[in-house]
Amino acid sequence: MGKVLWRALKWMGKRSLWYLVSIFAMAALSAGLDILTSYVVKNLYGYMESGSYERILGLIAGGFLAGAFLIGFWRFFTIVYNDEAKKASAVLQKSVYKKALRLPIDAYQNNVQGSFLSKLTFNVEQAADVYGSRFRRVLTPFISVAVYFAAMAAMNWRMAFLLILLNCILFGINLLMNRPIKAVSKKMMDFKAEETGTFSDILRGSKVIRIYGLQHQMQERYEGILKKLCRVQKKRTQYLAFLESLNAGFDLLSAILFLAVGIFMADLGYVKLGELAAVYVIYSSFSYHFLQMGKYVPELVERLVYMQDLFEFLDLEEEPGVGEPVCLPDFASGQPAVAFDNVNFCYSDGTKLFEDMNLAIDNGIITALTGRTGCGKSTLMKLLLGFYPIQSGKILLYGKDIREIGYAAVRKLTAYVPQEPYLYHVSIAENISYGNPDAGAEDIVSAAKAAGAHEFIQRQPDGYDTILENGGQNLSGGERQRIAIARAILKDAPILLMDEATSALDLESERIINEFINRYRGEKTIIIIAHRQATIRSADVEIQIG
Amino acid sequence: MVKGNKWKVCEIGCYLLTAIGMTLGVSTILVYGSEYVSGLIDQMAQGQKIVTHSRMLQIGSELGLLVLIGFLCSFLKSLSSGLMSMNITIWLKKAATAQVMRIKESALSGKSTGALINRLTGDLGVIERYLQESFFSLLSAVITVIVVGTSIYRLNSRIMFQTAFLCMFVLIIAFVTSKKLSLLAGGRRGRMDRLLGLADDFLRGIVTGRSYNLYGIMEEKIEAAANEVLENEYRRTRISSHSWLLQTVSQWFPTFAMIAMVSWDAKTTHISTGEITYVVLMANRLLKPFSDIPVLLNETAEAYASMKRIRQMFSYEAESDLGKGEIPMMDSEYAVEFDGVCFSYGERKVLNQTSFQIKNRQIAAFVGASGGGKSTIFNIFCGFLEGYDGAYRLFGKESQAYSLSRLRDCFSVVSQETFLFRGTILENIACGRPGADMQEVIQACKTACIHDDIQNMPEGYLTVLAENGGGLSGGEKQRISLARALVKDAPILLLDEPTSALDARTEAVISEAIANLKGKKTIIMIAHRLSTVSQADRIFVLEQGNVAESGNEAMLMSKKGVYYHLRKKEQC
Repeated sequence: MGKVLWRALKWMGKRSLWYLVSIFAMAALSAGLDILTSYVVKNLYGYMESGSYERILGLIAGGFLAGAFLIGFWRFFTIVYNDEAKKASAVLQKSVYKKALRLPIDAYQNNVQGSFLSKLTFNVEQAADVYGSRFRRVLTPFISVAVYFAAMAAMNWRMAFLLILLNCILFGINLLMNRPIKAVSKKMMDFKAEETGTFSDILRGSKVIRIYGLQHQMQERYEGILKKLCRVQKKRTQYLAFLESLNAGFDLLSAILFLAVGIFMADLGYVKLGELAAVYVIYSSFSYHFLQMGKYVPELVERLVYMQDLFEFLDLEEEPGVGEPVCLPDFASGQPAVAFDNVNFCYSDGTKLFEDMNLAIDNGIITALTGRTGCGKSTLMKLLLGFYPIQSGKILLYGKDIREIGYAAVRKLTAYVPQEPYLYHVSIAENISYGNPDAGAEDIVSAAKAAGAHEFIQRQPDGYDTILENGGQNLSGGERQRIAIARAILKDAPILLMDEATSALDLESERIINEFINRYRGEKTIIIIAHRQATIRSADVEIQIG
Repeated sequence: MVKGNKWKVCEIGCYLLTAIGMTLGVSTILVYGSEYVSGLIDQMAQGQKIVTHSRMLQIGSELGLLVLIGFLCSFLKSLSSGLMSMNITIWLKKAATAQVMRIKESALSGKSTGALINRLTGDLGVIERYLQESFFSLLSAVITVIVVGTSIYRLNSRIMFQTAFLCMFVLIIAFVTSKKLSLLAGGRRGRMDRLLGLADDFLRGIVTGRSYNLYGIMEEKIEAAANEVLENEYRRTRISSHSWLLQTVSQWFPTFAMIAMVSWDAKTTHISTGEITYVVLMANRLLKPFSDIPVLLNETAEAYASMKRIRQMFSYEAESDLGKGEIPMMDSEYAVEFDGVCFSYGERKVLNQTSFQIKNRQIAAFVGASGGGKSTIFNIFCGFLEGYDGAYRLFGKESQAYSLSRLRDCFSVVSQETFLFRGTILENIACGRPGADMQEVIQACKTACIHDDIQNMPEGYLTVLAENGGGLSGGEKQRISLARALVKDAPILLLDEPTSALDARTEAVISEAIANLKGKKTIIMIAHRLSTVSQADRIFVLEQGNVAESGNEAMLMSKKGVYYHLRKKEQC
């Protein structure tokens, strides 16, 4: 866990220094206020003893002033601390989300989308607590104790050591009592779980209980569990009462002992009365922090586990080239647009799909891919796009291996319209613009017109600015398809990949698809997974898979 | 509110009094001890020698005694407060469970049962925590303030009045800051949700996004949304910092001011060193409780609200088991009859002049669209609903003639949602009929085709089930439910959508069980899946609270009416 903590701090970069300094400052300044009070008390006694009453006013005024300063600085560092903590959490969350968008595509297949993200978000929230409070809570008692001790020792080291001794004994007692209390607490929690479970059983099953006349039985059962819980809880109460009163009694004892011994020493001249009172002022804060040392470590460790999970996530392999600028290499002419060369591919569960498959698709023609369901037509397209790794062989785009030119380049050269295209939670115009983010409004409109989407878009409440909710659920399947096609048109890529949906399109849309195909005949290479006879007939070449 | 055991009330009262008394004791000892010490200091200041053997011994033993008494008081205080809260909580829970099993189903049905359970459990939890911690903290705070305040007053009344102002200061700041901070805690969700929504959108469309190389755009948007969240957090920090500042000031300043005031007095009126020491010792003890009080009062208000809600539950009407104590005639011609029954849930009319007759030892089925009133009919059968118009006759007599328990004795129910409680499988099945022996249970399990599955489990019939039968599949739970119903051996078996969400095997089992019981019991089913009802002697088609058609399968199909169309639709 230490390594995780170290990494978490390094994650903050140079700002980690400010972060640590502010933690130290907050604890020290807080302690400083008490020390200020005790310093004033010490001098107060001194002045009273020596009779120099006129200096008391100056002392008090100075005390107030110093207090104001300390509080002012404390506030400054509190703000710095919180800012740094929030910033670190924000960077963590950003990085995690961004990473989540860079994984290889097959990582997304196994995840039910909702739970993947919510688990990540939950982990981030838990881990962020390390920055927000857990780490500080562990450090603060140590720092405070050190500062208090230094101040007390400077005043009178004998008193300081007496104090430490008393507190160590108290600490030891607490430590000893910890184990039996933990054991009985765990037992109590088990019984409590059973009790709450039975309670909810009764509530949820009230109908069945009534029909079978089980009221008496269930009540007895419940009371039985309550009795068992009672017994354990009583024991726990006794332990806790003992510990609490020990702490309180010891508190009283130490206070009185401290004072008695102190008075004794004062009488003997080892310590001045003022010093005694001064140390006493710090006493209760000191004890409080002393007992808290180490108390918050388990909580910190708990959160560090989440942090570790996140770091492991951030170390996952990404798909190469995501987010990097695309550079298209030169292409040798005369090569087929797409070629599969001895490709072997199996699914993740081991089933073989393609074995030594060879395929070539020429430039500028319309190819229809056909075959029965499950033979791999959609997968073939996805392999071309580099969504899944192949076991052996090469996939070539214009004669070059797609791994060489990079997946980003492949995707720049292809426009893919899947069966169920995804429409984002943005305006229609923006959805289309994703084909080419640099395009202007006129280009968007002409792409929409070419896809036959312009009319129904204009009928929408805000036209092109209508925000699509829920993946565009308020539009029909055909309308969604047309927006996706508009997006593909805007992209103006040389290769078009279309996965024809079997039933989503109405006759009108089908006509538009065919128009679309015909318009680009000869200009672009079109590969379409076809189900309809009309589409297959309008293609130049048909390739059957399977 | 709750009719309680007089002894219990006394016991709890004792604990409470002990706790109060002991708190007083602890505070008094604290004050006494400090006065003793400051007395010593005065003696010292006046030049009396303390460090003599006899004196030390006397001081040591007196202080030692004080500490011992303090320890005892503290122990008894913690113990009695713990016991008091435990006893009250247990009392409440026992009463709550008894009440829940007694109140009319109609009181529960209006609200979702899940929400009710959560609220009830939550409220009881709030009260339990309050009694364990906050209640006695509040008590301690008040008692400490009174005791210490009185002692300072006795010492020097002028100082007391000056301190009173400081106490008010602390109190007011505590009120103001706690309110502000809790308001602030509410406001952060909005922007977080936007960032989350963005990430969710992008993840759902990752394939499209990847194929259009949209990562750059996605990254920018996430960056922007996250920065918005961060800016918001910075703002919140600045606003909160005012409250934190006030809190720190209120923790330091009053103590310091108190000492300052006393020192000022030292300058003018020459109060003794002992008195000053006393004030130094007591200052914090007096002021600290004031800063805790607002939070504690808040928690008291929450506990009170929870209590009110629980009390509301106790005010619900309980089912009355009155009735004329008649006994059902098992050989009457008709098992169940409805005659012009009307029932509405609030405004919504669910049953509208519903009339039907189900012959004894027949198989009847109710079909129709959901919301048509089928479940309402079952609820009326079992006496869960009242306030309906019309007549409901069970074995020839009006339902009101029977006591509620007699009425329910006539029915065994297998419903869509199985309910199994924490216990062994054997217990769950045997509870169908008190006094059922192993033979009956095994026989019922064989009929329900669950016997072999149970035997295959490592602990067989003694397998302990987790919450609501966790660990078992839906089909297994349903079959155990059926076995329980068979053990009860009631004359009428109600099957509420028994096969809707199940595997084909369970569906077959249930059909077989129905076939086996044909002629021996009256069986009434509700079904969505019409394939289940084909065995029925009589099928009632419910439409908008009315029996639209009735007859057997062949009859209804030939009629080509509502039933026919429902059947056709299902087959597509």
